Amino acid sequence: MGDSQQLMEGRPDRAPGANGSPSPGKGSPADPDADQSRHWYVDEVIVAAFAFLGLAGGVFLPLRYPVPPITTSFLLATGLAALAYRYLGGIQGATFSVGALKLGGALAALVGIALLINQTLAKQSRGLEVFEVSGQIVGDGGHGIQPLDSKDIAVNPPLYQELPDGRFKLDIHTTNGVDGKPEMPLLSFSHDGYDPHYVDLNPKATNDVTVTRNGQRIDLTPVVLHHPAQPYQPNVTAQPIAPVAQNGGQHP
Amino acid sequence: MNRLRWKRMAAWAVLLAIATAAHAAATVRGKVVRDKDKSPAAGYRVTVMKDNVRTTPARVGQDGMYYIYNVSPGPYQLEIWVPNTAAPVIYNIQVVEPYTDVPQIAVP
Repeated sequence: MGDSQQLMEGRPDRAPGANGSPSPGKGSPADPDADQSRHWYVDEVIVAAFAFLGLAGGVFLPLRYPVPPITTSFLLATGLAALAYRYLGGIQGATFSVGALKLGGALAALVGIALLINQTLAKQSRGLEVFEVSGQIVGDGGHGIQPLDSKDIAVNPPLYQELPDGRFKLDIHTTNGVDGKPEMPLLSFSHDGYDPHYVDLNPKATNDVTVTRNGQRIDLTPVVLHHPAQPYQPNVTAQPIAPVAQNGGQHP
Repeated sequence: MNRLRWKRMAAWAVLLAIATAAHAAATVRGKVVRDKDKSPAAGYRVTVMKDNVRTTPARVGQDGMYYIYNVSPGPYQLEIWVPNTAAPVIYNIQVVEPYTDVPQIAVP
């Protein structure tokens, strides 16, 4: 059997994890000549790839993208489980039960490590949680005070900060859209004597201003408000026509 | 020499006028309210369509107003996309410059 066939079938002299003994790594004093002509076998390449992608992904992905803690946990656990499989030949006797599912060996280590890391990461990222608060403001007689003004309710620290020179900072959150998917809000900018201007923060929306996303930060180029040439005064007629399914029933 | 200069200036003026006319566009604005209580239909999407080309949806603000910018004059279909319905509410409108103010529309 040639080398190429061995390469496809895996290592003939060793089944990693089968006996629980550490594998003789490269540079073993027992057989130095054999190590010099040693090939990378399919199983080794796969394990090395999983170890590299798992560890590198777990470390670098959260630096660039807002990935949830469970993703980071499973990536790190994949890397660690691959390393354990490679250098310890698997973890004999390790078991992990998830409901009716009972896992063993390296797979048990993967899930166990992932859930362990996830608990820690989830606690650390609690500062980004969003809550919906609902309630009612009533007067002495128990009747609801209405209409409420937006200034009647304040949040401290404030969700909206006015900065000098027309600048601002704003905390926003997504909502469930028509199709149940997360939807970014619509920002409305206005000022006395100016026409309002709207900026849709959804990624696919097109706006007059440039919206730059960098993780959890969204930067807008200056929003230009114009003095209205004329106030809103209907000057055309709108003739209703029978509704026909448009756009394949998909909302734009 | 002076005549040549005037001709050049006239040519530039004509080019500028053509370019300005080519970029002429209107703003379509209007108000959308809910039929049952006449409250602003905030969040609803509004588009205008012509020759099967639809604009980027504008969303109705908290005051019920929507604004669609840079629309070339002409006949259009105004579409109001009511959530959880397959077909939009459609109106025929004529877009004029500089502002096309559509009357208030009540939707389900």
